[in-house]
Amino acid sequence: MTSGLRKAHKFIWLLLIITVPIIMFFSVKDLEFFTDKQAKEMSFELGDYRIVATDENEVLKAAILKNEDSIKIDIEIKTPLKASSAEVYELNQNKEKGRFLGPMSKAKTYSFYLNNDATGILVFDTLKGTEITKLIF
Amino acid sequence: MGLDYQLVLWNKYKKAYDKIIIISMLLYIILFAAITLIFNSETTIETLVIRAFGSLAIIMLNIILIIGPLARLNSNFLPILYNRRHLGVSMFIAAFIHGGFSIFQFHALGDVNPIYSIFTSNMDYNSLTNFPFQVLGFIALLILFAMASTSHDFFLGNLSAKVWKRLHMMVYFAYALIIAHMFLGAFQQETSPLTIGIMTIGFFTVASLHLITAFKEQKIDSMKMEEQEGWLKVCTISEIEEDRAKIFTVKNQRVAVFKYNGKLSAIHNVCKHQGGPLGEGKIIDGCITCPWHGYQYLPSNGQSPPPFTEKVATYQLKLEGDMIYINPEAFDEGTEVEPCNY
Ligand code: HEM
Ligand code: FES
Repeated sequence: MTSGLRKAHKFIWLLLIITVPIIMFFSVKDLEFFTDKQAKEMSFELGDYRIVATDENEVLKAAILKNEDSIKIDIEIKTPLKASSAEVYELNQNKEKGRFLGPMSKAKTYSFYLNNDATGILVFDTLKGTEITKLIF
Repeated sequence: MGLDYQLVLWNKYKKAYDKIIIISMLLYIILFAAITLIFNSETTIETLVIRAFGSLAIIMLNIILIIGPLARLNSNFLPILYNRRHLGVSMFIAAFIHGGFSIFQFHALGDVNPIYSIFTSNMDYNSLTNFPFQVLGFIALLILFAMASTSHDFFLGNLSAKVWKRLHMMVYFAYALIIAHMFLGAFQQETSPLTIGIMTIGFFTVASLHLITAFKEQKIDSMKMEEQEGWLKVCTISEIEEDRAKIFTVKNQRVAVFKYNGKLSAIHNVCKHQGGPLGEGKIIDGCITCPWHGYQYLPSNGQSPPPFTEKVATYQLKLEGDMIYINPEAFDEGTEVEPCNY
């Protein structure tokens, strides 16, 4: 290699060793395994919300949060879902599949606004058309 | 270039290396499939292929990237460097199978063009954890394709060494893209500290080996030599091994001073093929032989023996007792210089 090429190589690797760890860090920092048990307990963003109810089963943990003018639900998926197309729905007054809230797959915390009359949530595998799990408040 | 050098010295090894590459790749895929099926028997065959070849490709890329610095730090790795190109093409094939199956599984079943679908099926370009990571893999695959398809020496001549080298330095960019592809893609779905840990360690190993070599080389480049009436003091005759060279930095250029048959000659250290360090090669059949791929040059004029036409710059030496001196002004490439007899 000529000395110019050597300089170019050194520059590129200095650049990589700075930028790549930054990408690595930010992409894994919110992943589940970084939060220990206690952090898990506290992982719901409170802001000006109060927790009015919590519930948990083997797949997910959920907390209903309320403030002045809205109700929301934070759902924490405990282990990655096997289904490739899981979606969350609200359960309506009759405890049936109601409004679509959003998709979910990864193990992380999701946040959705709820209707006042929601009675629970349902995680549904849209490809297979089966229920993955259900939580009734 | 040393045709017979390659035929006699390298080729039987080259075939053996190719076999090792193919067998190792097959073994890896079989092992990966077996372990996956044992621990996660519900995995579909497409997912299995995608994962097996994706992980194989990144492992091979890591290996490819450490060969360069390893060969600089320890000459025992030189034979692997010689065969790095085939490793590169094989890695591309593994990555291509991975990318191809992914496109097929995730994008080919819709009604839009699958390539268009890679870029548009997920438009969350602002998000970090839900980033369309497949786009990164796709761009990386294009770069790897450009490299693999121009890897033959035919293109080195056709594209000019400079363009070719630029193209091949894109591998570093592809490497960064692939790491991001894994961290923003697979690692978001399958959060395993083990795989994340292995990939992180892999990256830091590769990067630090490159940087260690770079700083070591920089030291050689900034080496100063004693001057005496326009001549630079090199070393004593006994410090150079027979049929070998010592490398010195003269006016920012590296020069190799060779000792052979009671004679001394100096030529520019950079091989015309891909910039290999000639001074780390040996004299074989009277020719300086590049340690990287075996191009050959005559010590007295820096020319490749006919029918080859490569030429490197030559330098003038003089002896005072046991001490070798060099004239720092290089002669034009291929200039005949009377060797110093001792
Ligand atoms: C057209 C280009 C590409 C597409 C569409 C693509 C797609 C994907 C997909 C969908 C995954 C997730 C697989 C899963 O979690 O089951 C993945 C993971 C991965 N990809 Fe790619 N990829 C491409 C190119 C590449 C290239 C060029 C490389 C490296 C040389 C690569 C290396 C990997 C690795 C190491 C993983 C994680 C382990 C695995 O699941 O195999 N990919 N890719
Ligand atoms: S023979 Fe390839 S770099 Fe010298």
